[in-house]
Amino acid sequence: MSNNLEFCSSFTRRQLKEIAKFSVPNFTLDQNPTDCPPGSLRVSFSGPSDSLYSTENFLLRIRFPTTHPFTSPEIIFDTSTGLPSPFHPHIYSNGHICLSILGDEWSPALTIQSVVLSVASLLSTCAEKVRPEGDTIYSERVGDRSPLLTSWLFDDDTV
Amino acid sequence: MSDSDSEEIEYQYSDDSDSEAEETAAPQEDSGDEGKEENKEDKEKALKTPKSKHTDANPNAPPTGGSRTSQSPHSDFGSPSCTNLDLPRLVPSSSLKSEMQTILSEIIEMLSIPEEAAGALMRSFKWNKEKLIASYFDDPERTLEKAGVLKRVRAIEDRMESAPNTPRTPKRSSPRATTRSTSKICPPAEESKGEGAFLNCKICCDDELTLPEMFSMPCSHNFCTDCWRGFLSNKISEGPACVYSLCPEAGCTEIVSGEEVKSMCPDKMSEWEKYELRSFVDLNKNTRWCPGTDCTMVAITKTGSGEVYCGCGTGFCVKCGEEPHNPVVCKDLSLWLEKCQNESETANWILANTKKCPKCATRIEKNQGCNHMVCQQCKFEFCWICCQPWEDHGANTGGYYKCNKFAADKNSDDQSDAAKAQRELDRYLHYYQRYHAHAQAQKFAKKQLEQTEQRMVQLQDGNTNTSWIDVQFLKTATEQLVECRRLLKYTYTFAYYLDPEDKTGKKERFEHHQEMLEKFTENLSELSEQSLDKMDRTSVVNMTRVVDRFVKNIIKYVEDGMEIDD
Repeated sequence: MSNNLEFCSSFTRRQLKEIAKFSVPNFTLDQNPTDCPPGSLRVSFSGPSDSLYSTENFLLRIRFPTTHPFTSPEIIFDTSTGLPSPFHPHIYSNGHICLSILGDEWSPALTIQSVVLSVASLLSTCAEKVRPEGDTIYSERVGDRSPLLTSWLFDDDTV
Repeated sequence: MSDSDSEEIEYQYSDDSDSEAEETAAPQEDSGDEGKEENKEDKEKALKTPKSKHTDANPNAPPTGGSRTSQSPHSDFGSPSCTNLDLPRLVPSSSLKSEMQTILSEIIEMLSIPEEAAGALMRSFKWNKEKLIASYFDDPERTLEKAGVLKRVRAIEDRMESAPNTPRTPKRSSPRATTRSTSKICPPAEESKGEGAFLNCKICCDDELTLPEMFSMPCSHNFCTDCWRGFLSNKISEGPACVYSLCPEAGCTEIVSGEEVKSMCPDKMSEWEKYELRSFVDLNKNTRWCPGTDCTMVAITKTGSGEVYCGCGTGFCVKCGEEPHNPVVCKDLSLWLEKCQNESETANWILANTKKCPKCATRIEKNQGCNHMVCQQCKFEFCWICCQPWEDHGANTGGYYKCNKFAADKNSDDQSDAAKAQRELDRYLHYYQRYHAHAQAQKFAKKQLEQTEQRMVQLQDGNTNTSWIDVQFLKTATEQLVECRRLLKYTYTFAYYLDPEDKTGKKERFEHHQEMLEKFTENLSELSEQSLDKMDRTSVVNMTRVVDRFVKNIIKYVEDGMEIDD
């Protein structure tokens, strides 16, 4: 991934189609969110029932780099409105998510819907609410920088 | 040393048996592939790669190109067990393509696999032919799937069966789905709906596409040609990892090959090939880029070991990329370098670059290679390494160079941890100090070598009847000196890793060889540094020969497993 990352400020035909098709029970997609850079999407959802997060609500922010769909979208837990980044062994307190399909295993055939569902499934399979190792250091060092600029190593196939 | 030798022999041996196995096993593997054979030849002709058949040319023929391919500046330094076949070769990066093609042709013939799959297969086995062959004969299906070429191979085989005489062409979207089962993870490719219906591209979501606008790899996952171009150029722009790109379909494990790049992004083909060659050298244990700055030569070996001296002036070990380091094995060298790195602060604190004259305490900087120091202030003569009077080093006082042996402290019966640690540090410092001294002397000798030509000119000018050939001795001597310093440096690393409690006499014997080499190297250093009016050709030539003898002795002693035989 190159270091000069640019994001789309408007949606492409593909993205518009995906937005139109997006339909997941209990997930709401906002294609014109306030306080977000143009070209961003927000998805709000409540923690999956039967999971450790069943009583919590979360907000995801999605942006598309200009190289999308050949590279993965940027997708983070948005904490700017006061909603939490879930306590999860693969989710950092700054909202960054360590998930293989957002890195090496991204395929251009994946959609917003499939990515959002993958993130939600991270929550439903979680057995212990903890932060990843080194969370404080990582979150402090990286802050608001895009997760697309981080080199991720995917070493845990269980969650 | 002896380890790697036996490895070499084993390697050749297994190589032979492998090719035999291939000859017996191959006919069973491919029933009815006369068509394929013919076709392969067509393909080869079409490709016009002169080296594509491994039988035609001697693969060890020296390559064209400017760089020297000699194994060592002193060509007779090489180990006697090294046959010519095993000598590393240096090739310019421009001939890498044919080098790679030679290896690919072997594997294509051996396994009867299509050419389009060979590169990816070899990559997935890091260019280890033996491992690939073993895995392929054990389970061809899994081997192909793991390398991401299963569907490609099957599709080509199917095509061969149905039309054995039509030459292969890169496929546009084929309306027929493969007859083989598709992978469990990725969704099966959709059946095309015939010529009339519109098709959908899952990348751009355009759903008014026609068949000619679509393209797929042999896994039949169709995407529009525009998206293919975007996908491939994006992968290639991301760099060397592009050679591992998989089909854009989520979960599909079929790997992208040059075929797709050639059909979809012909303008990116040269870049793609560059990355293919780069990964060929990087992954392959038998090859290494010359580590010289801006040098693009590549060392190619049969065994993944050996020393190479490139035309750019860089010498390196093929296995680890460091400076040639015999008699030390790569593993010990890396331990040693790491140790030196970790201990460097302590060692540097103890070893300042200057020393005080043991007699008058004037600070002395050593700026030439010889260890025989003469203080300019008080004319006191002493040894740089041990700071003892030089006269103690005379042959009449029990050996010229006693300072190469580490004698543990007298109070070695103190078993406290602190005392043990102190002894270990002393032991390390003993070897490091000498290693470091020779490393410095090697640098000086290299500098000396740079100035040698000038000195040779002056020497020739000074004597009317002297020809250029007559002054060559100075260059030979200085080259020998550089090599001796390099070797001596590593003899201390080697000795550090010998058992300190050794009772067999091997270590003692090694130190004897080392002592002799060190002594005569100092002599040669002194003789060759003489001012030109005092230069004595005969003694320099003789000393060069003597030193060469000791170099060979110590190398042979180690190579023979340090057995005491005479």
